[in-house]
Amino acid sequence: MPADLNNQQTIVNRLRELLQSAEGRKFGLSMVEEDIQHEGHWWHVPVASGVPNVNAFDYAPILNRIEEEFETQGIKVLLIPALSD
Amino acid sequence: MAYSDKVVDHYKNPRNVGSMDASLKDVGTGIVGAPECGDVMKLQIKVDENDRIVDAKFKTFGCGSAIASSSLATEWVKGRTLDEASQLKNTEIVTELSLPPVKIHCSVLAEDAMRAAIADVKKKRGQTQPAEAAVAANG
Repeated sequence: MPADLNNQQTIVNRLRELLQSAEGRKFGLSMVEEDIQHEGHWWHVPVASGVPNVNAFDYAPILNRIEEEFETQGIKVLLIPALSD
Repeated sequence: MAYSDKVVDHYKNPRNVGSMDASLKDVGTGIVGAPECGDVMKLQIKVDENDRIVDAKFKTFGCGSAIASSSLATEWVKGRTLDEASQLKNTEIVTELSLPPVKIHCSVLAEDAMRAAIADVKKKRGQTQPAEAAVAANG
């Protein structure tokens, strides 16, 4: 990945690719770009599934792998449920 | 909802986020979900030959209270023995984080995940008691 990955638009672009990968598409995963927050070292990114009645338990491992991909680049991304309080 | 300062701190700067190799014999993994809100919590512990927890990691897909509860739980169990860690109560998390009643289930999730991780590593080490084995097998 490019050296300037730690930039919101670059992170958004890479996240979109990962969420729309084959396994992400299965669960209709997407992020809520306007609600992304940069807190200290962390990027908090809301994610939602577009598939009705799907259980987060089923796609959480996909999200874990996405976070870990960023982690290997030294980027701290925390995927959180959209509309979460 | 107004979160306490401690919840906000753990949410903004979560401790011990990450994963360990679940196939390792000295790593215990607990994965639990909350039907109330759809939160999912994975908590892992690594123990030494004296049954002392030398590392703890978590991955939580959930609200700020769930992230804070798992972050705090991993902080608290490091350095404890398995028996000591098994005494962790969700009420301690509730008190420490000042969780409101509607978020108590987040602390329960952390306690359940910790117990599952402890049961997992004990099972791998052949230390499972009959009652614990039944709990682990039934999820």
